Amino acid sequence: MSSVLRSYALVLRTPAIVMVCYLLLHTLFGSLSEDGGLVTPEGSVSIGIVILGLLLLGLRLAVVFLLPAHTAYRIVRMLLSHS
Amino acid sequence: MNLRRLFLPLLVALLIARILPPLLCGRDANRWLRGDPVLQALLAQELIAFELRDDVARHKSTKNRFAGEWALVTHQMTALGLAQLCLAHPEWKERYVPMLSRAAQKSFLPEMRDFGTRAWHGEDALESLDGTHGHAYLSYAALAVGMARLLDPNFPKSIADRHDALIAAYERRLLASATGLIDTYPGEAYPTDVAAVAAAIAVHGRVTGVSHHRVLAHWAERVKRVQIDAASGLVIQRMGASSGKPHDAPRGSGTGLAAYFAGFADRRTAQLLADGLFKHESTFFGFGAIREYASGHHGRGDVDSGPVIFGVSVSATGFALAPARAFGKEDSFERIYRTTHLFGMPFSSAGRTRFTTGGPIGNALLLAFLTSGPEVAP
Repeated sequence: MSSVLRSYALVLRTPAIVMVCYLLLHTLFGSLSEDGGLVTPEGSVSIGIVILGLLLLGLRLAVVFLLPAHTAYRIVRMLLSHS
Repeated sequence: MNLRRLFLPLLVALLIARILPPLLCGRDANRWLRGDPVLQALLAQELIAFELRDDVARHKSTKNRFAGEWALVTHQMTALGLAQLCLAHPEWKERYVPMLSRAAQKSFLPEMRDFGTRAWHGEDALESLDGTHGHAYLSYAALAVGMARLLDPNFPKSIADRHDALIAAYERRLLASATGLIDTYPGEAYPTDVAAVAAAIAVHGRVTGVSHHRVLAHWAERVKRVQIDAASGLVIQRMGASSGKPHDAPRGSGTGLAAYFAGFADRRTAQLLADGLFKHESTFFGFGAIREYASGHHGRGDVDSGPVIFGVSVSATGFALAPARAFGKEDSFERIYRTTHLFGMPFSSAGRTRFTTGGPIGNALLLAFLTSGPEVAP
């Protein structure tokens, strides 16, 4: 029983790490974006913010589209193999 | 058995990918459609905080002030968004009218229109009201000032007088134009900017009781006859004011913003523009976006459209939220809001919400578009 639980925990470990990283980055970017987004109010580009923003955007797309589907795929496979 | 083990997980994964992202990104769409006061106040507070920081910076230094085209639009859209909230919730007037009035007055400052003065070789829009040059860019500020005058009983008379004179000049220039267009820059007219001119004139009529019916009817007729591309339903982005010749393609970004502005002036023209705009919606997995170029036209992104990715533009998509909400295109609103939420990456803290990727101008635009409706002409 404990080995089954351990294998489920292993499936959820990577998504959990990705989610924590995403939430930390989102909070950081949210705090830094008070005076400007990917472009400053004057219309110029702040390279550091743009890199952070694009990294977060990529991670957000992964978290919204790929992560839930991939996690569901692995859980269903595991359920089928244990049935 | 092997097939079941292979396909069942794939099927579940595909179902999750199809169902979950629209649910996650669209969870606030209905609340914005219904005019949820909590969501509206959170975004409004973000713009108020921005305006207060801008006031402090403006008093501290005469150099490096937030000025120019982006600043003009940021203050204008903040004023319009807050004004729309006051029209929707009259009990909020006490809280928001002083701030929207300040934002509108800032949009009228000379440093905000420097870009236009330079383009007209040093001719200032407010110092050349007897002239024939269009200076249509200043209609953005004129519209904000009009909405401020509508709601602020203590609006400064000196600015109101200059606003009256500007509106009179716009009315005379527009009536003299056979195409219903006046120049923004020398030799370049933007139907979107002229829609803002019409909006400013219409709101001035609401404020003063002066009838501007003749000029608004003149403009609305030319929008249909000259400025809309019949094949696509989109307005041509840039034209010659006197010739009416296209200088650019029919485009989604210009049409989306024109539909919002036209709503202040003439409901039927705004609906016509909105109908053309939503023919160009692309959908994917429950997300919606507006294609920038009409079929048969191609181009890259520019300052009007923002980035154009897979044919859809950031600006056209954001602008479409306003006519979608104002004219009850609920399905389109929901799909487009999901896209806005996904790429806008909203972040809430300290009683405020901001869409982090767009900065203050993005937040000001979204406040105006996500609350559009109460400003539309009857």
